[in-house]
Amino acid sequence: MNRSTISQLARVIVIVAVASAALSGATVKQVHPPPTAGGNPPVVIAVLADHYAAGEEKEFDYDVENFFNFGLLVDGYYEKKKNDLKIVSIFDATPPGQDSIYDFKISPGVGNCAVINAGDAVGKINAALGTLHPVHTVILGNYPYNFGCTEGEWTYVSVDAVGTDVLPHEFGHVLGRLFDEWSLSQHKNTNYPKVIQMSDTRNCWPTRPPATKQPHWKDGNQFPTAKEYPECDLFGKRVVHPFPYCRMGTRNEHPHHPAFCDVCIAEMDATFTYYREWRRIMSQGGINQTTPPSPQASHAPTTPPRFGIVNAAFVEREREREQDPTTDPIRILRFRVEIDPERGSMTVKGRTDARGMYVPSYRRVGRFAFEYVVDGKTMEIGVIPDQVFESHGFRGGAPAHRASDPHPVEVVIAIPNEDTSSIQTGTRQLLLYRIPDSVPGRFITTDTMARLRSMGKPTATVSVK
Amino acid sequence: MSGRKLFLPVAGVALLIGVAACSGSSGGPGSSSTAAPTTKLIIEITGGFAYVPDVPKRTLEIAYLNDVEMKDTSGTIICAVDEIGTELIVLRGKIVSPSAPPNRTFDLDGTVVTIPALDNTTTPLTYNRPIGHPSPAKPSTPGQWSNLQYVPSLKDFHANTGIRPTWRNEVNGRVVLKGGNVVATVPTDPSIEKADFEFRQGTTSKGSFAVTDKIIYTVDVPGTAVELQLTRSLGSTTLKIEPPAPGTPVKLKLHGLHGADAVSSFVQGQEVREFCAFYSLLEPKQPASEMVKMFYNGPPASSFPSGAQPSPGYFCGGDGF
Repeated sequence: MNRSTISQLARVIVIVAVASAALSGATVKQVHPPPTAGGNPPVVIAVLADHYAAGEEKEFDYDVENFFNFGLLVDGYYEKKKNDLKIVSIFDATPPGQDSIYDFKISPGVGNCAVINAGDAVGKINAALGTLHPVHTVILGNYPYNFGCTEGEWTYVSVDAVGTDVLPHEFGHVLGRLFDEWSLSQHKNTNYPKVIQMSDTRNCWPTRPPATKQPHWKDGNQFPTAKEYPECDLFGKRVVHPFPYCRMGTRNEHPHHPAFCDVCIAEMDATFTYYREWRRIMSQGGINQTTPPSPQASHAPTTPPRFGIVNAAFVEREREREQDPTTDPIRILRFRVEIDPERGSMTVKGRTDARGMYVPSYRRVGRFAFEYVVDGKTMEIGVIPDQVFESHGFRGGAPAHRASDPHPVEVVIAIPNEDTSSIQTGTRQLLLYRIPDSVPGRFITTDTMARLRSMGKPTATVSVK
Repeated sequence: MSGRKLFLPVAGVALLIGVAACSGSSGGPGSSSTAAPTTKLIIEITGGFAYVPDVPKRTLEIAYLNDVEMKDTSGTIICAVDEIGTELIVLRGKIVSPSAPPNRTFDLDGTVVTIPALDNTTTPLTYNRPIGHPSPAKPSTPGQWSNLQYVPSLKDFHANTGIRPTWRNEVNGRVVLKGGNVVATVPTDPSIEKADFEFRQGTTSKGSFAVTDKIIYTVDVPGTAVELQLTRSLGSTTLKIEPPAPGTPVKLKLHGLHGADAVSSFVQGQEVREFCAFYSLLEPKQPASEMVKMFYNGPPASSFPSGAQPSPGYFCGGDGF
């Protein structure tokens, strides 16, 4: 069997894995890239149908085309990243008389969202995903409205939002973790209450002490025209953003500025690069991660989980692997947990087996870190992005969307090389820590985690089975 | 300006009233072995346009305005609305020619859109838009939204007025539709669907009722494809679109872009400032004191969950002339 044959076989395995991903009865299609194109783009977006009748699968396909093939994937920025994006659609009809198969309800929601989770939306979404492990899930709602709403792991978009920049903007949040570059009216004269790490390279910068260092976009020659414009992250005072016009901002002379500013482009680029090359990034940074997932063939699902410390040989092998588009998927266990950002509490709501490319959440884009411990030994760590705790409603165009105050939300904590069978043995725990502002670093590392442990108890510890 | 629409009848009140619904005739391509083939065309129109029907000519013209700045006799600005733009998006159909933009979206700045195949149509233009406010004031079922009275009309507030004869030279562009059926439908914002708007002349209330920013036009176009002529000052282009599959409609979206300033979400009692723009086309000109203004009357804030912003976001209804 030569390399080409292996490659073709791997493609078939990927296609079969995708096709069998969701619940029986649902139709799963790889929308982009074409299934025959091969490769294994790391940024997987799942698109679920909601409020479509049994005979409307073709309508759903057209809507998916409009939002992605003729929308996001031909957008000036995302078009350049299309080789890193995989779009998978899942159609399942909504029974007559039922608003939603995912417990959504069109109603004034949190923030200015026009849709609410009126039941177990996240659980039903996870069930529908089957063995898919998407980075984010978009639900296309077959309603004659124009709105989008992002909360936690999902974005709900009503089909009349076609032609707006709802998705390109929202993906700035959910992928790059970019901030909005404006202020809510009630925060116009309010000092920015949060602390953004000095090492943070995103698009907001607090100007009050202790962040006296100038923003990264003015530190060096990478962004020669960047300045400090007032308002960012929905507050008006003592927080700035780098350019007057940006897709993450507003007040533009065009409906909504149709492109990211240079600083946001750099952050989005870094995000896509991280998804593709996180092993190399982490190792080159001299960061000794605890538990990068061991490479594991997709056809060996019963192999017990293996973890280890990165070593040089492993890294070299992984470098090769990152350049190999036929990378096998691995087993991933998706824990669905509800986290209350105010109390720091965490409740496990369920877990599902998945298969796919695993990318750890080491980027420091939130105030909470999790630790997965097996028989007393740390097996994985990661960061919960802060933005999942805010709900964003958005209709495209110039007007700013609003955001809710942080509130409890269900998120997915993914663990590599585990499944619902493997966790039945031994003692397994998920721990949640609040990361103090004084702890530096752009990534969560073993050293960071050791420091967190030394600084105090986790805010939550839950046993998982 | 976002969401402009208003219904002002060109040919007088009587011409607006009581036109039977139902665009009648024909199925999709190949629906009959004897009848000439037709292609069903559906256009969803969202945003703030001026709707100008002319029943004798069987036309409905949908105009997108230029920037509006109106001053009173003392030179004080009484209405200032920026025009942002208008787009035509192909939602369903194969673009045969010209080569399609990747996003299948056409900028209609300064463009007049016509459908030559309908020039000689005998199909009537059908819609139902009597003068006056809608009943019920707030629809309780989706079907009730089909009443075009949910698109307000300055004519309702100013008797013996009409659109200025030179209006075609004063707007940015227009879409000319001939024959077919026009209905209103639910607003594009579900919060607006639950709200109504009070119209006030000075301190005098002229009534409160729901408003939509969306209408739907349906027509059967002779032929197996739909051809739109896009005419600009520098020439014209023919956009040819085939149905996505035999017997299925070509579906377009005429989309008025929104240009409201930051944080334009409505609060209770907030004026919909863009509405004044339609006065720029009204004849005779109305003094500022006579101009009717439109105010948001949304669901009470207490109906929103804790921590929520009681805002539906921006909204711009249109106006019928």
